[in-house]
Amino acid sequence: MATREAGKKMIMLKSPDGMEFEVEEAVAMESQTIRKMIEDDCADTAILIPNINSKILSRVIEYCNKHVPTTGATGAAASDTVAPAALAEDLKIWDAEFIKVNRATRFDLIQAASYLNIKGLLDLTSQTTIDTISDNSLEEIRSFLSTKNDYLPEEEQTIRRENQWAFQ
Amino acid sequence: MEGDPMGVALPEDALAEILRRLLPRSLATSRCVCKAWRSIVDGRRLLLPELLPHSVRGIFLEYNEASYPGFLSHPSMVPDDILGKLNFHRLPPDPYQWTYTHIEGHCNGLLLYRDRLGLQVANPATQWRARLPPPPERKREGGIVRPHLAFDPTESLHYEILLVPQTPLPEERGQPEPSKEWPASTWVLCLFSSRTGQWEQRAFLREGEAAGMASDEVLHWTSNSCSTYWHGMLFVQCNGGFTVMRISLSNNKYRVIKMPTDIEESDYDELHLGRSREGLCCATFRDRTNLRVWILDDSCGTMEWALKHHIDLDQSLSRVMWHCGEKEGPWSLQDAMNVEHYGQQDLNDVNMDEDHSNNSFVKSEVEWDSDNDNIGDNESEVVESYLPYVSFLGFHPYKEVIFLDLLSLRRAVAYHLNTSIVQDLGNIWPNDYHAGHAGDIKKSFLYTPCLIADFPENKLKAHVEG
Repeated sequence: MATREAGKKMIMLKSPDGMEFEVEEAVAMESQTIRKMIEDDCADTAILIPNINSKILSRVIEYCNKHVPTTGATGAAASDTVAPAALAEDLKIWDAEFIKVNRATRFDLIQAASYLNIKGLLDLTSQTTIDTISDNSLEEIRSFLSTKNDYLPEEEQTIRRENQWAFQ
Repeated sequence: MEGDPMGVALPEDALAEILRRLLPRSLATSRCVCKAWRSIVDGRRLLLPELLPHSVRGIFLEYNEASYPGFLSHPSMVPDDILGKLNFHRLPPDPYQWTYTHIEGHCNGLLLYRDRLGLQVANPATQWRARLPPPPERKREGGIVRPHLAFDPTESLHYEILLVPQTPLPEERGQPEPSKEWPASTWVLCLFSSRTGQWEQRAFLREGEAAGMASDEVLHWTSNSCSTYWHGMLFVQCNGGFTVMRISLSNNKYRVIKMPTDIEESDYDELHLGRSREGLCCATFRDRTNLRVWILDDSCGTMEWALKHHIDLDQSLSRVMWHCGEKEGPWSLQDAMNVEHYGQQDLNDVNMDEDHSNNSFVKSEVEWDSDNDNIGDNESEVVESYLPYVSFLGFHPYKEVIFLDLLSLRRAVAYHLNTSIVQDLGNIWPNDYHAGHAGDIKKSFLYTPCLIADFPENKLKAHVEG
């Protein structure tokens, strides 16, 4: 239920496995998908987040908590003593720790970030995959990402020819 | 991605988000990984914005009484690259026939041109080309029938060419019933489709009124006709510019669109049809520099022309006359009239040349910066009026920009309709072009590249040159 605590509006997020997470509205609105629901007044009661289990959802909320702009009720920065550059550096280190997860979790996070439309989290979680695709040969991509080549030899020849410029 | 051996699969939406972040080269590699990846890249058109950069990379120029066209090349292009790849001179010289190449049209990166062996379609960016079979013979003495190209790579890699008569054909004019409408309510036109590789006669049903009566003397004669392909419709200027035919190739219907009513008859000669960011538009000049631009509003199905711009370009262009003088412009003219130079370069040589073919992709990412090379943006400066002669080169299809030919300076400029900023592009007059009084630019085609490599060959194979 949406409640008010110390002037901050709270939002209830529910995972399909029945767990409930109460988060600040500002934190939940890091997700463009949730932001849209709130703005469209679809968020009076708890918001059910389909396809994202409680383990992943809690990590997503952890990320949003860390990344929500730290502004007080007046709109001024919560802390004037920390320089923005130092804050960004701190976030970077935090992100690097956050993303030290196994591949299955990373893929789950990508899926969650994609569904919830959280750009920063999507950038963070998909970077490893992007690097893999960008830096490796076709065979290596298939092997690293466990993707099976389902082209017939002739088909592969044709499609490689179509994209010849990429292999030069 | 089903049946992943490690049980780790990325759902399509999430994978699409990742692929969306890749550079074009990696995207092209991704297409080859597996069928699922290819269908994401193709289905969501991730690679298309790169393959269709939506930018003008040059202007093809047809000169009066010249055997070959020129090309005013965007600064990001390799000098001489486009004409070198097209290599209009590769036909062996025939002492009994005049050798020439004339461009008939351009549509979304494909070029339609005619040489002494007939019509040919080419993609200058990829060097793909196909020669069309000769169109079926038709009695057409005294009537002008022009080919118009329809191609939209976002929809299909197939293209079509429609032969459209500019005016009633002699057989239509000499009908026993003098009151016969033109075009007829069922208009039979000759169409080539790359799907079949053949010419066919296709009947188009008219929606709305005819242009006039076949016997009308007011149906004007002209050698020039612009056409533009937009949203699956081919818009062809007919009847001396008085009429635009909107021809739908998908449902075989056509509609006659009358030109704006407040144009004097003498303006029609110089009425230019094109496509801008806003849609289909036409433009005309009066009193040398008085420009009017209309946009076709078909929101209510009424096909009305709405006056969008009415600008006197005298001050803006006179400022250019003062400033650009003799200096070189940022765009450079490639000149195919010089037979020897291009005759030596054959298609295979260009293929071998790494600088020419492999890097075209990278270079195309350099966008022409509309904030650079400005002249005449100092509005406060009033200059002496030159009242320059200008003619129209074309509409930028993706921006509110028009391209003009400053006749007395023989230079091309770009004019930004909303900001009145003028950019000098450069000289458009070949060094060795001396056609006396006839010297002029007859036609111009704005070139927007299409870097999609493979075109469906199907039944055309027999006509493709090696």
